[in-house]
Amino acid sequence: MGSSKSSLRHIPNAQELIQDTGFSAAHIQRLYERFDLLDRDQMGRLRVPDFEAISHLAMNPIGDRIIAAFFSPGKDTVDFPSFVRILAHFQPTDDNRTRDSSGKEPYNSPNRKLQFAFQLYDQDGDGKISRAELLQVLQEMLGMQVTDELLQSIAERAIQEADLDQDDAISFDEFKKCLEKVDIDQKMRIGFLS
Amino acid sequence: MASLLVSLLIYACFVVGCSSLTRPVDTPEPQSQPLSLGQNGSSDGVPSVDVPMALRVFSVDYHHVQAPFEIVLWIMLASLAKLGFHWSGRVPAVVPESCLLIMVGLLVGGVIYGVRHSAPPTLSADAFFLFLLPPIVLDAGYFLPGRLFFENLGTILWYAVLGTLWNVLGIGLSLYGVCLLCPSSLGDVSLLHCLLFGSLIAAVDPVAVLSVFEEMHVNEQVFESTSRHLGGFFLGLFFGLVAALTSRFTPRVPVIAPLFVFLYSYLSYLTSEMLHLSGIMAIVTCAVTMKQYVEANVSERSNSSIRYFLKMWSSVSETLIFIFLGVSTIQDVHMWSWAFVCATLLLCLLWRASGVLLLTAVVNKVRRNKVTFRDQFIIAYGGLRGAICFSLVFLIDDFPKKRLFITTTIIVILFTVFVQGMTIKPLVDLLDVKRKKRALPTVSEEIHSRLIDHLLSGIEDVVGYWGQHYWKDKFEQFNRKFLRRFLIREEHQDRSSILRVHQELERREQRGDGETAVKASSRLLLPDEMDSIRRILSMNLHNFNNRQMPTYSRHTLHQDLDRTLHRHMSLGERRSQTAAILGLSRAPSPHSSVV
Repeated sequence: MGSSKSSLRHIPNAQELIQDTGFSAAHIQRLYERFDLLDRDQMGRLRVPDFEAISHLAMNPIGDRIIAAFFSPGKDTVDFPSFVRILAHFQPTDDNRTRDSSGKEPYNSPNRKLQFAFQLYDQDGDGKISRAELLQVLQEMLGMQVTDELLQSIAERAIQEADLDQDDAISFDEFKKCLEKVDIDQKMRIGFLS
Repeated sequence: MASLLVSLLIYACFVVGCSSLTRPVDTPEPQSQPLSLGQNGSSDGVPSVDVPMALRVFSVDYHHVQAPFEIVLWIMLASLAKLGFHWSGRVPAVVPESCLLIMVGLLVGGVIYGVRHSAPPTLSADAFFLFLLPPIVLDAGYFLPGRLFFENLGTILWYAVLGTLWNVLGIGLSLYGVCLLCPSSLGDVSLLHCLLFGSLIAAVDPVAVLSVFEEMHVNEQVFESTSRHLGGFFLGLFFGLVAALTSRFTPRVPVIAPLFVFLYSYLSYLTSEMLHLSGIMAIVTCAVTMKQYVEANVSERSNSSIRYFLKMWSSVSETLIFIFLGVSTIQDVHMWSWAFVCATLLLCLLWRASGVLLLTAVVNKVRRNKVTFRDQFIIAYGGLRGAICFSLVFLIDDFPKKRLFITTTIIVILFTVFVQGMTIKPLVDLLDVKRKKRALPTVSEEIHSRLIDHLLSGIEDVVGYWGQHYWKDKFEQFNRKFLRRFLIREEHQDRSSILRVHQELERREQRGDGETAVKASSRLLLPDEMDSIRRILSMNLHNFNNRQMPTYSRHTLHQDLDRTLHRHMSLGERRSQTAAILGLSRAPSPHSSVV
């Protein structure tokens, strides 16, 4: 593990992070240790190879997308605050202790969680999941086990079911509607202290 | 269903451990004198020599075919009753199927009693353990919703083991207390007997129970029983793998493919019984192990045959046991004790309810998907005792109060089946249990849910959280790399479910040509189709979708939501996502699994 005796003083802007994300001090501590461990060249920032070194993640069908989600557009490193902010999406909703004073939606609200998931599909950031983007994801998830034409059928069906405004793509609202029966909070939560 | 197994395991240990198992060799007594046409005192019904030639053509040799004839008649009667039962539209929705079977049994019992005025044939331990039990257990094992079971294994074991321990100790000890309070009528019931009784009426954990009311050396016994189960487990594993391998070579002789499934399972059972290992464990392990490989290897038709036969046999078994139940009820040798019977009924309910509440409180702290109050109610109230309970009590060695136990068990079974079985539906409606969604999940929902599952798994990896998925994934990798390659036919390794989905989609396209002009959209996929797609989606998966809840009952094969209401145990379960594998007592049919 990383430094065994690091206190929050070592972590820049710790208080601000606690306020912003709703993590407790203990959580931040733990995450910092993890961040430190992943940071192989100890530059205080994570790069793509650092993520790729997580063996299990490398085997994840959508591993690349998940890694990419950590990086803000245009940047190729992740600093600790960004790291924490991404992970804040996965707190249980009822754990939300602090609310941003400006009334901004907390990171772990169901809406933000869904947005995060949506962005995994929507690589070009146009706010819609096009057929091609959907196909790509399906390809990654189903791998080489399915013929192309079957993939096409599945994608076709998925779009038909979801697409209410007939624009041949799935918007965020349509995406939300697909998942309305699913308890997002339950599905997208992680116990951060383990 | 886990508690069914647990209960049987403990019971088996028990009977072996505490006293030697005597095997009464009762055979059914001749029901009627064999008819004879001759008058010459020949006792076997063959016409005597001075009867005219013409009459000799016709003779009734009942004695010759008596045993199988009677059995077939009983089964026939029960099956016809089932037909009639389901013919009427509304009755099956209200009355559980076990009620029907018991009533048929009572009827048969009444008839036999009326004809013979004496005790009806009894069930021998051999017949039960060798012939009636294996089909039921095999059925349970084969249709175990594998992935869900292993996903929730921790919770299941928690409820099954601790819950049943709680129940058996609670019920046993309380009953003993009751016996102490009424020394006049119940004085000679020992603690051991009470606990033994508790173990039939509730499901039980072998290791813990043995260590409690063990008369001999505790350690020895515990060790012995654990090794029995482990031995059974490995034996079952072995047979399962061999069966899977065999099924790989069956394409040229598809007709006998189903036979192998049954042969190997039964063989594993018999072998472990022979070696004094746990046969039940063996047969279940065998079934669970071979299932995925066999299903991939054999044709669809063979798969169907396997499933149908399994259902059929276990149905027949259960029917026979219920008939024995009914038959035994109608006899004059009943021992009654108000205190004992009422106490048992009350205690069963109380301990079960308290057990469920306690266990849930603890387990909910750990689980991601909580067990809700409504689910708890279903688990607690939905536990119908049935055939197995009854058989087990019958097989206890004779002691003065055995008849009392039998009578009480009968009452408990009748009560739970009739009263609880019929009232659970309205009660559950009252509680507004979240019904299982009638609408099948759409494809988009499935896909998006899967994506999220992958996402969560990835994030867990980033955070370094070793969740439940770790071991599961390890196993899946091993499975994919070695087992599947070895045990499944080359061309079927990736193809099976996919081809089915594809064909199904094609068929629907063709059929749906006339349906809607614009789109064939919002047409929900068939359960089979969804299943296949789901299976495809989860081949790479770590997590699983908690909404996917294949229902299971001994009496249905298809996941056809319309017919589910007719099944006896599942009345409550169908509505709940969590009844069952967690069932704290043995119920006649295993349940759908928990979230």
